[in-house]
Amino acid sequence: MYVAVKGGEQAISQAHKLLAKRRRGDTAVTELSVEQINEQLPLAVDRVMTEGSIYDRELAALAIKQSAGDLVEAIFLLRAYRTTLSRLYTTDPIDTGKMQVERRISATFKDLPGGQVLGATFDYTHRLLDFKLLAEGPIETGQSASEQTSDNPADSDPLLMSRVLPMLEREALLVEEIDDGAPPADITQDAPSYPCDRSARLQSLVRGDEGFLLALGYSTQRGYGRNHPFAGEIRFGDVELCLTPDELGFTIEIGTLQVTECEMINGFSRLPEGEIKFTRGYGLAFGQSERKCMAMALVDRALQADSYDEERTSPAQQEEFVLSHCDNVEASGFVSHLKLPHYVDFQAELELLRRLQNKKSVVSTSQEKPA
Amino acid sequence: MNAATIRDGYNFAYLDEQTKRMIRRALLKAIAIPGYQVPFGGREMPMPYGWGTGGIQLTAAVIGQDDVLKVIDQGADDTTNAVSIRTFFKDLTGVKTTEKTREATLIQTRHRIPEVPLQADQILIYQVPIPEPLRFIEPSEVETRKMHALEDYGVMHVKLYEDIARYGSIATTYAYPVRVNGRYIMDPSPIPKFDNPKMDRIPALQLFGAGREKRIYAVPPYTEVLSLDFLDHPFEIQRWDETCAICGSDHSFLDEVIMDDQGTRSYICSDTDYCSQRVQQEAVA
Amino acid sequence: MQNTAIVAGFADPVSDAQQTFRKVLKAMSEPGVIVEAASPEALEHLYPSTFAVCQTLLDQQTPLWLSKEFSNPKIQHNLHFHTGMPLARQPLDAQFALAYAGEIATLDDFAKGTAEYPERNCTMILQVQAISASPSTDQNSTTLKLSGPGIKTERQIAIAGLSQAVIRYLSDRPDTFPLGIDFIFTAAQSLVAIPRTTQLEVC
Repeated sequence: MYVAVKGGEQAISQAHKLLAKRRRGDTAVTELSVEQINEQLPLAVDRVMTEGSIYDRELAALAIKQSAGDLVEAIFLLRAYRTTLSRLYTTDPIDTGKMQVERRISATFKDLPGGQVLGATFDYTHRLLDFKLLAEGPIETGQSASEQTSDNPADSDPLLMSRVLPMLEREALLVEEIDDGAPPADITQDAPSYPCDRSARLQSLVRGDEGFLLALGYSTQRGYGRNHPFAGEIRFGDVELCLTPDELGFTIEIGTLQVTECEMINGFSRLPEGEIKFTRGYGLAFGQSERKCMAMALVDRALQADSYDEERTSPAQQEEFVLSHCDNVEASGFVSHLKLPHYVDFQAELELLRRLQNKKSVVSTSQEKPA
Repeated sequence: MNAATIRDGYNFAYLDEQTKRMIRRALLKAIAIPGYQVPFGGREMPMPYGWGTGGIQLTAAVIGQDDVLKVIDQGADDTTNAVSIRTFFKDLTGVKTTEKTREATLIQTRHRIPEVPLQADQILIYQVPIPEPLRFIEPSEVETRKMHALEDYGVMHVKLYEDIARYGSIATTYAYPVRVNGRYIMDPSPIPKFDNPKMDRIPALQLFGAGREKRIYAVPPYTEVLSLDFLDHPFEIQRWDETCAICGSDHSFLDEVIMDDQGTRSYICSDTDYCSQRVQQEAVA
Repeated sequence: MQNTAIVAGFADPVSDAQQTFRKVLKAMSEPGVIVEAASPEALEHLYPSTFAVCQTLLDQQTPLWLSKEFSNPKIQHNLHFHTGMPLARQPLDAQFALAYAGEIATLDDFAKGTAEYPERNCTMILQVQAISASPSTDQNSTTLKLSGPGIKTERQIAIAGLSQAVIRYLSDRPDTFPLGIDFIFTAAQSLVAIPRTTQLEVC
């Protein structure tokens, strides 16, 4: 009779079937395997792990498959799964100084101990569509190229090399990052309260949306909270993950993580103690996520405005603004909820507006009457 | 636990026990400080933020095998999001669900309070998008927290009074601010102000969950909930000249339905259970 | 690790914790209503009700302060085994405190929350000798008349075993709302809660 568009269970289940069909695409084309995604879309997997905040390549690849390549949706899937996991132990902090480096560059020194190691990067590619990749089947050039590099130990063997910024710290040219030993905040356990602890801030940024942080980082370069950045060091490689259970009393290695770390050196400032030193920003992400790390480091530095007596005038410097809007699971959820019915509230507004208009017409008609 | 009815690989009610404990502790604080927003470590749920994750987390933290669950959105049990949330809890708890307000022990709601008065031992769980009633006046959490601490609510009255100056009456029609137990100003969630009086000194427990904003708040039974107003502009609720086209009700919240391309309108109860109960009673009579 | 015997906790941790929580939720939202709660076994002189509350609310994130009466290795070890809770070094660090209500000489040392974060207070779990809904003639028993949120008009309960400090705190309410301490009083198999919003009159 009265067809208020109220979908039922049937409508939902039909929509889910359609979605599954859309995701699968033409069944004449071979189905993509999770393994293929993991192996051949590794950078997408890295981003989903970082913002999804679980280090598990297979699950991240599964999420990408399930979300039909919508990475924000994949990140959401991974986060929702994370909710169900119990916390068993807290691992020891990773030591990026002991990283088995696959790629390490510094934009601040032409050469340095260990050298510049380019590794796998898009940086110096010419962005020309490679139509050879259109061809199906094994691609000769790609295969032989990878074999070549792996044949060359100098290119592929991970290296141990010391970090760049401590060299400047030793000369007292750079603000030091000091571990005060306080247990870090945990934003997944306690809702952030502002102003935030730096550890809470960095956690929010790691999980923060790459696009949002990139835009904010970019805005600092364009004068909105300028902080004169230099890419002091960007490194990518494997770090050991260790655990020291109370009941054992000794440390065991439980695996390795691939991480990217960016240490930005920023313009110098006069410190409260009177010294003048370079300042710094920090970025870290799972896998190879350089753009994310650099953006994070720029924003981390911008958010330290208070520490250096800088006036907070730009968006990237507003901690509460940045941190409470950087999470794409939160943001996409709230934006998309506008698709939910709002007819009760809309009805309430409609009723008021009609009443106001009626009142107005009453008022105006009474005014029009000659007194 | 009736494990057979629960989806494989998941805990009863989805959340792990540690998360439930964290939410449960926050709930007890919320009840001890009526109307105050307690921060909690809100988790990602398998539905998007803004779709009821706060309410879902609260339901997951309180629900047990003996509960009977009702889920409504816009007052109706059959709206897509209500269906989806109800299915989620059926899958992950195996509890009994109902559409009847009187039968439910837990009612999760978005945007409405049922028309049937709630009873003692019923728990009404609201989904809340923006828990901070002062947020649209003052965007900073640091500032609004201070305002609550100092009971500095002048801006809210100024805002409402500006409406009166501009429109001749208060122009807030939903999420209409209330004062709880004479202390905290609270956002009642985006229910129409029509529902505000139903919150005042009722026998049921009212819990509010804001997932994305990570806040929980509560109104214990028999607690005063007053809608803000002015002596010369007392609080009033919406009213309709029309009646429900199905049950003939002239006192429930009505949804407007467009009947044709010419914009012919009809009105029906937003609370579908209330409406069908009335139709049934009439049939019996 | 000490070699102390482990007492059995909840038989079904998920369901039992949920049921106990709902009892505590009811008690806290309707102050003065007496609810039943019990773990299968008592842990020494820790009542089955108290033990159930501990298993329901405590974990690695909740520092617990133990009074002298409860500071023994068996209780500490068992509570830690079942909940993972750390011990609070001093009352001020405690999110929960466990004591006999008769033991409390002052409540000054426990956290009352702050104006901006009033929830950062200590919840006291206090064991008493008896709780009843009707006035008691037992001279050790205090009859209290309660009113406030959660109570339609007023409600009476009698609790046996409160210290003067606790009675005074409850009737004088030295901390202005929203600051204050919330109480859960436990008898062997039951409990009652009095949050900071409740006004009390000693009868």
